[in-house]
Amino acid sequence: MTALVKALRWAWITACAVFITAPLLIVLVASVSTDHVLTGWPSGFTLEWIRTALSYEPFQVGFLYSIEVAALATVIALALGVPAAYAIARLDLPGTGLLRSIFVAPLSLPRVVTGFSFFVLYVSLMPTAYGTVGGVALAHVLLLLPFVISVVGSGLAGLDPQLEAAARDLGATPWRAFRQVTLPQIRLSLVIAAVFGFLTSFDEVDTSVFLMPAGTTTLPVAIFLRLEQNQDPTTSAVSSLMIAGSLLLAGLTAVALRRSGLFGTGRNEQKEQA
Amino acid sequence: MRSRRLATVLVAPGTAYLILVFVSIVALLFSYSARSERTAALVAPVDWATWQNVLTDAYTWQVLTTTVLLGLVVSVLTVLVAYPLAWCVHTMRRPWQATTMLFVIFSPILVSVVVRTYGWAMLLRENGPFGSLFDGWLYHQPGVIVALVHVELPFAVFPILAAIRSVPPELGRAAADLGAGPLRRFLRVQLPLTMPGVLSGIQLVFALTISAFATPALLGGGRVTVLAQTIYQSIQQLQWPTAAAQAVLLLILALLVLTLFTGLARLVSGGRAAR
Repeated sequence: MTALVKALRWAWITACAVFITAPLLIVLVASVSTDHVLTGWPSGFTLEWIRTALSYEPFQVGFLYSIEVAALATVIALALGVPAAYAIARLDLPGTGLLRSIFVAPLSLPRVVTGFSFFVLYVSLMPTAYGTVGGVALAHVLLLLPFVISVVGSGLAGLDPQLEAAARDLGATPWRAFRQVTLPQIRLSLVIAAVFGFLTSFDEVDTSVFLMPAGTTTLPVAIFLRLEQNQDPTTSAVSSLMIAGSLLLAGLTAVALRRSGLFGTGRNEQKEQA
Repeated sequence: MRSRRLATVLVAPGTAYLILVFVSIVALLFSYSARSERTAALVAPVDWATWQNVLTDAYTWQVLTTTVLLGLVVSVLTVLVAYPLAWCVHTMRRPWQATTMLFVIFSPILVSVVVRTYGWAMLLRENGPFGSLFDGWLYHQPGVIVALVHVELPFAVFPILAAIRSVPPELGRAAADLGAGPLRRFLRVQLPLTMPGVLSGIQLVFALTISAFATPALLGGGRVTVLAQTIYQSIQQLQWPTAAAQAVLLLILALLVLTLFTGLARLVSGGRAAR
């Protein structure tokens, strides 16, 4: 009985691992395979598709566009979200429950509806914002805010408010007490919120596709529009670059956090989020 | 008192942004769906012709049915995959194994949905790496369903794993001491205690699936059309009022699902407290 359970367990874990990784692996393999259409194990390997993808102009433009949008959206979302999360968690504020639900409400909004609404908003009120970095980023802020609020909020919830109060009693200004006592303790949450927010915005399609003309688009939208027409190795190449980039960024963040010793102190914090 | 003023200053910008966005979304969606001509004017004469067309069109109801059915099938399948998977991860003895598996499960979230969908297009292609095994899946329902289960899986594992972790292991042992077999222990102890996690998994996956756009658009092959796609199609055909009406329908559907599951969750936890 236990042997059977054990075998079933490993079979399920293996099956799930294959299911989860297969669509990513095939993109990676196809991008360096000499075959135009992958029908099995590739007959040879080449970097030609990667080179073509790197020099393909819509992808170059799209990459820069996506980086700019993601950076701006992350900065705005943190600037709006972190103070709000702090006030909700720490300060004497009426209606905290209502505020919290307002800040996570965008999660229930279908992204396509968000995209369409911002499209209509821009064409009727601010025609100049359509297709600009600022216009797209402002829409992405709506998707990132719930995430910033809940990650930073749960980071703050794991802390002892008395520490900051003690700093205040010792004569520190509120800003100094926050910067020197609380900020170092929520660094992990801030980094996670920033990295995840950046990637969410960088990868976004459902909202973005409404906010830009087909000529100049962010990278994932460029891939989407190309895939609507046809599939070719260049698309595989740019896709596998995106996979590598995302995982590299996440990996580097994890390493950097471990180096700085934040993971050690951040354990409880992480568990609470889970 | 000073602290309250500071708090207001800190919360105000974010709240102002959100309220402004919500109000304009609702106002614009209704204003645009209640006009019949495509104009970018902020206000136009109210005309219910668009709504009449959308609601009497059989296509709308067909798309709505597809959307809801797809949501049901995908959320049930995803939870059926996610529950045993979460249990396997929870019962892993060595920490590094659990960490590796969690990385495998959650890292696809970091990769764009477009890229993951493209991977499925390549896997399911006729004469693809699996030969004719998946013939007829791509550009039909099964392909869309498999890819959506893949995309939403982490969102189901997350709450279910949290629920399984919160069950004290002593409960299972106590039930075993009292003579309950494995199946009985699972059905009478484990499952009821983790039901809130299962429900929030289903809710999350259902909500994400009914609003999914890129995956059905790329893998549906024009045969599987969901509400989110029709909004995009209407915009491309320059039928803004129709798109607005369809967006309102999707929004109402999303809110209905939210209300339904909130009620259901209350029922489950309330029922447990009363027992």
